[in-house]
Amino acid sequence: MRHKSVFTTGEAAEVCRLSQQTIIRCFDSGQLQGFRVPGSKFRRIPRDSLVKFMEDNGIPTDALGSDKIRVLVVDDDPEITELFVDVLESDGRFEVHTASTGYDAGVMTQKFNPDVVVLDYMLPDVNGDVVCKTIRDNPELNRIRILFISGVVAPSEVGRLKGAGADDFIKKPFNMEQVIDRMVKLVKT
Amino acid sequence: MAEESGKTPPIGEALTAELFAQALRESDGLSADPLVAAAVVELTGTESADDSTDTLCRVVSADVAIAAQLLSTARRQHPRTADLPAAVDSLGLAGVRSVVLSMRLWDSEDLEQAAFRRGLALHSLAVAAAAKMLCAASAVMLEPPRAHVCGLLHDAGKLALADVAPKSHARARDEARLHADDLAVRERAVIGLDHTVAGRHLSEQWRLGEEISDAAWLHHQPVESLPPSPAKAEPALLTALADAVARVGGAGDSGSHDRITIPEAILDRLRLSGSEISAVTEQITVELETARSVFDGDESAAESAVRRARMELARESAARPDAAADRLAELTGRIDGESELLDIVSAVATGLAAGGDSQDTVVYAIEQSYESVVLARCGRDGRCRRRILRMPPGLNPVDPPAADVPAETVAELLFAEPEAITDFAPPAGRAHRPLLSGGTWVGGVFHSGRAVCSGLEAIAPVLGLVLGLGAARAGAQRRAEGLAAACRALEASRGELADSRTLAAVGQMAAGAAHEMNTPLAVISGRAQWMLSRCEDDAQRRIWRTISDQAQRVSDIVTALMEFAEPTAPRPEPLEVARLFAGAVERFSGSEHPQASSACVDIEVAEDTPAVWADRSQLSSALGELLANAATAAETTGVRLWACPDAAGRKVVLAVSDTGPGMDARSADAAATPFYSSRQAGRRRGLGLSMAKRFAEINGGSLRIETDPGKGTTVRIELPAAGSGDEDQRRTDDA
Repeated sequence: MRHKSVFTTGEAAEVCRLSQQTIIRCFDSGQLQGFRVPGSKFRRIPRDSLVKFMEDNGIPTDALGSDKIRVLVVDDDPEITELFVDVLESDGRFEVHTASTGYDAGVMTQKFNPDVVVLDYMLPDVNGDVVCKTIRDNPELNRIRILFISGVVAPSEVGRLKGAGADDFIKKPFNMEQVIDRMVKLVKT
Repeated sequence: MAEESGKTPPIGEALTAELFAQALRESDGLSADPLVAAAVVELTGTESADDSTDTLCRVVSADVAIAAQLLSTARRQHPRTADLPAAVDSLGLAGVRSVVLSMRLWDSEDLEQAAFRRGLALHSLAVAAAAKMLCAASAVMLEPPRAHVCGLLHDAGKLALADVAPKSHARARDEARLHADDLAVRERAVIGLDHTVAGRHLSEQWRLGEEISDAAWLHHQPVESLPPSPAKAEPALLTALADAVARVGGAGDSGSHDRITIPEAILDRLRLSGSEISAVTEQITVELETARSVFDGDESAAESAVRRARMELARESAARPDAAADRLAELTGRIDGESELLDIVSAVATGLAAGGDSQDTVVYAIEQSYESVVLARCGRDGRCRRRILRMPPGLNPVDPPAADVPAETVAELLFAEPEAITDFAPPAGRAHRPLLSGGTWVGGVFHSGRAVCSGLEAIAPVLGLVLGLGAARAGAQRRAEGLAAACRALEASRGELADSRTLAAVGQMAAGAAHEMNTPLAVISGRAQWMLSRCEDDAQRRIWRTISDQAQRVSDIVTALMEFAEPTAPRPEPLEVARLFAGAVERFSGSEHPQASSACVDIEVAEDTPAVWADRSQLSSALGELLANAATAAETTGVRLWACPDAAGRKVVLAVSDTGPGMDARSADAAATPFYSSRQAGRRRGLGLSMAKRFAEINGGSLRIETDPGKGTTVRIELPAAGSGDEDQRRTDDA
């Protein structure tokens, strides 16, 4: 729900923990602002209206969540993870956590539920492709996007990383603006 | 001399050493230069001058064929004759005159041939002079006059090949010129054997002596593969060094067009220095003066003079008694421990025929490899014909046919193509006598005369022994030649192996470096970008941007090195050359190269140029690199992109020529080495030419640099033509 800009009455009911009938009633009475889909009678509620409705009625907005992109940066080099933390947090659109081993990456993925994992290939315990495959094998984590960042440049190696289930690959050193653009695009597609 | 339509195979079929030896033996010697022959005839017409030997030697040295013939004739009479002055002294003026008059003259109207033969004569003379001077300057055991004759005759094999297979040898010369290659390489490719092997056969058949044989045979061998004994190695070492000195000095034309440098290893081994080489180089020109003045003569007048002298000699000879006894002595004198198998077979056949009836006697010997049979057919008149025929597989040499087995059955057993023996000497109506050596069938006689039969039984064991020894010697010689060929191949593959090992090591190092360096570079670059985004001062922003860009540049260099060592596998397709060139020029014009907008590039594609079979992206990239290099060298003018098919039409030559300052030999050798740049100032990363070479090689081709200081450079890429069948030869292991 974190990145949705428009909600159905069913989704609004879930977020507000009310019945769908109550939401429809509030919509029809004008308490909850929204619109109907042109050509059909279906109701739609923009995010802003839903937030205002919840605040007006004292409903906790936790379930709506933050609209920031949650990024898990996995690299054993603290200089790299710190670089990502500084750059992404100053951008304002990201919430960043870090991990320095494959094991930590697994724990953080379950706990933090990231939108994007930025993954180095060479980790101290297991290689990045193992982390990648573990995430891909878990249906609950299917929506997570994985972006490999590595100093490896051989085309065959790059092919192997993508084959492990990565969504994209960026070579070190990188242009930070391009990395940010790629992450945003991956999350939105 | 044999024509190519006769004994020697036509162009395209390999000439084996055996076939060549046979054709050479059946020939009436090498052909002589009409101008040199006439000059010798003139000099030998009077016996007045005191310095006649020296002058005569200088003139004789202007023709390798005449010099070889004189030495051969002199050594048959006095086997210890080892140099040209001794040969001339031993034969006397009349003897020299007779030998030269007995030689056939080559056709002086064939201008290409005349140019080749006279160019080679000057080269041989220069090598002879250099070998003599180097011999005197170094502490070798060989005497200078003997070094001179080794140098003079070291390329006699080229003349022998040009006489035996004129069209094929002309083609080999053309290819060597077109591809700027070693003539020996092209001779092996076109004819099947090279002039070193031909020179050795000539030396042995003509009894020119071991020193000349070694010089002719071994002067292209790697130094370390030469025999350790000084007596065996010195002729080859001195000749190889003299050959390099003559070629570097540009004296004459050896027919080879590959780049040559003075071999340091030989200088070290002979303990010679660069200053001695320079002194020799200066002196060579003086040594060529006599030959040049002879070559300025009138050819038709020369031919007339030789004709007149021959008629005079014929009139004198008619008065002398028949020399049949001399002829027999010469034939029997040919068999000794050094004789070749065909010689032995011929001599035996001649001897048996002399005592036989009217029908010819056929003697054969089975070669040790059990692949061919050497035959000679002689009549009572002493006329002898020779042939080498193939054997069928599976002959059992310890189970010879009994004496009463009909000759036709033996022929069926012995020859893979029985009709070949029928054409040469029909077995019908003849008897057969097998000859054995140590119980092994080594040969036999097809005969009919009772006289032959009765005499034969008595000497058959000896004849068997002689043929067996001859076959063993021929086998040893073939193995030695095989070993020499293997040695050359090993030398070539050793270089390739070293290259591939170096590339693998570079690839591994670059891959490791890429991973180790790219992470800190990412931190440097990333932090610089981070600072750039937070900084508002323009001067500081420029600094952060520079740091970020330079970190990226370091990473790009490592990536390029890795791509060089382990390039992407090519995806070849047929590419039209004209379109490829146009694309390369267009991309270059749009590039950031300083001459991109000003350089004028000419494109020439020969009409019959086929499509080239290569990876489009890699070939375009290679052409782009070559174009950038050429434009840098030539600045604003004189860059030419041209293409043509090779002589065999199986490859396409793509070349970029410039009229820039060219390179010296050292720079040219190192030009394709990664990161090499001859420019000290403003040099950029030197991977362009090495990358182009690498792309050419992984696409089944090659890259060669031809450069002339002060005149310019041409870089040629040779790639398989689409549809030539050579596409499959691609070295996929490179990819």
